[in-house]
Amino acid sequence: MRYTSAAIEALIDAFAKLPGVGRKTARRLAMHVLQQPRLEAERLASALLDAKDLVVRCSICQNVTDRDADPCRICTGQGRDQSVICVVESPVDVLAFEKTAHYKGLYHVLHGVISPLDGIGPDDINIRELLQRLQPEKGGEVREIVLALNPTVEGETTSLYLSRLIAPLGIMVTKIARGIPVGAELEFIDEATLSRAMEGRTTF
Amino acid sequence: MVVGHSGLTRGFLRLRSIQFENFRNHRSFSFEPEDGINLIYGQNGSGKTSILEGIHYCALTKGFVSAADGECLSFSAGYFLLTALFESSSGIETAVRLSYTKESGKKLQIDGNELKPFSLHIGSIPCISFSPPEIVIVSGPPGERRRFLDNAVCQSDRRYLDNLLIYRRLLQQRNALLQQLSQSPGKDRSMLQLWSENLASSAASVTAGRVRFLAEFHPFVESLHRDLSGGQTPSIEYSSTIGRLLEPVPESELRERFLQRFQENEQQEILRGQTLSGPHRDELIFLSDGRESKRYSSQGQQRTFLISLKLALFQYFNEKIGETPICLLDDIFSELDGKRTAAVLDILEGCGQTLISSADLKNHPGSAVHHLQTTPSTRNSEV
Repeated sequence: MRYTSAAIEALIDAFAKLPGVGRKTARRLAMHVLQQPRLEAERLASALLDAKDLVVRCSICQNVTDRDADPCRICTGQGRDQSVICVVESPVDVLAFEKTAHYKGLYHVLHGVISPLDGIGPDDINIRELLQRLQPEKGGEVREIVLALNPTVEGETTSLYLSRLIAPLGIMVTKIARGIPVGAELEFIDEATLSRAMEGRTTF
Repeated sequence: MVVGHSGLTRGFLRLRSIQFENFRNHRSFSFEPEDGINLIYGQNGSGKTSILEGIHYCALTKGFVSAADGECLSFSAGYFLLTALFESSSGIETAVRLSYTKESGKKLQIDGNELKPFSLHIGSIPCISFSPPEIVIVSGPPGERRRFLDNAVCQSDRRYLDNLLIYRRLLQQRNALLQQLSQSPGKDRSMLQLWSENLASSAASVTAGRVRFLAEFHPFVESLHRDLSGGQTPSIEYSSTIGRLLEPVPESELRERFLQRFQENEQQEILRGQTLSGPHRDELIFLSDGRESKRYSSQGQQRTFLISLKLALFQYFNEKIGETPICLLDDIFSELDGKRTAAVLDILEGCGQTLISSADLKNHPGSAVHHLQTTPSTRNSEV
């Protein structure tokens, strides 16, 4: 059933286009916006526009950052180890590593992985930008590249591709370990993970 | 190596009882099989297969033949409910309660607790089935044999399933790339090499898993089929797109051979836009006395071969998992002659609990006979 107001219809349509939002939720969100004071709607509108206008990709690591903070605060941060770059798929992966507060190196965000099914080749993700960071004229500071892509078929292939490109430059290429989560009981781990963990065992 | 025949000294998994409510043509029905062989006979449409299907549901949460859950509802009923009590070889009882309604789908309760996902339950009650449509495994297209093989390997090797899923994904990706290359011939081919290498490694581990399984599985088939067919020697050949693999080959060698094949066929693969070699195109050949069953065996012989395969699977799991599966054999005798029927029953005697449906009565000493009669839709009784 359609509403008597075209403006409400337009708002519902706009909400329904968001990922994870269905028609019903979109309708509820639209009704909520209607009931709120004008100020709240303005805040929402300006937050949306700001995100589009002010957020850019960091010229070094390609992570998202504000326009007036480029390079981003990680790339310019004090106490960051400039010789290690961790390569990840998306900005949320950076957040995940930052939450550990343990990794002190730099990042590089690819914004995707190689996937012919989605029409994404090596030129469609930020690989060229990564290679530029490794050029000797940039100071030649980078000693190690840590590949931290998701353990999917596409992630693994991208890792293999990157390692083939980077290893000849004389830079160490490593990949994060996979296996048993910390704090888990062995008996509850699925067989595939467990057998891989056994294969990737390390000397004690 | 071969078990069976002489009877098992250890205990085995038993179905103690099962109750049907609105399941197919059983409105309300309760069934209590005996240990050993159970013959269920009755007229056409009396609900023999439905009993076996219900047990299959309780063990593997799905139907006997590939049918939608809704089809198992009695006409005009809103739900069906199956309650079964199993007892393991060590005497531990498991109560399975499976319900289905049109609104909320299937629900599974084990000992009163709801279980999700269903995959956790699969394997805890091992079960082997045989039904007439499955004859396509011997007589049908290669895809049926690959599915049979994959199902069997997955149940005994959890890592194999993982490898198989990875292989399928890699294959999709490589095919997508091949299609792009065929549409724009000038495109850089360096990425293809990368996918080929990945696919070759994955193809090698899948193939190695299959060949390893067949090598372990073959002795079981051999002795069974010889007994059932009156002396014919069966063999199973794994015919890969990189040549026949008669015995396990190291994975590294398989990988090299796949890689070489991908390179040789590159031009043609780009032209056709798909990967032409690998486990997804492999064929399993069943031979009886050196002749391919699919082409040269009669229907009865093909059926015998399939029964040998199924019983061999039974013995193989029995040894691998350590728990004797329940055997559900639907209409197994309809195309076998008297001698073979007797041979099958002889073998089954030592095989834990077996349920066989049949349209006419076969007398076999030592087996329990359940006679289904009256029109089932009005049946409200116990056997």
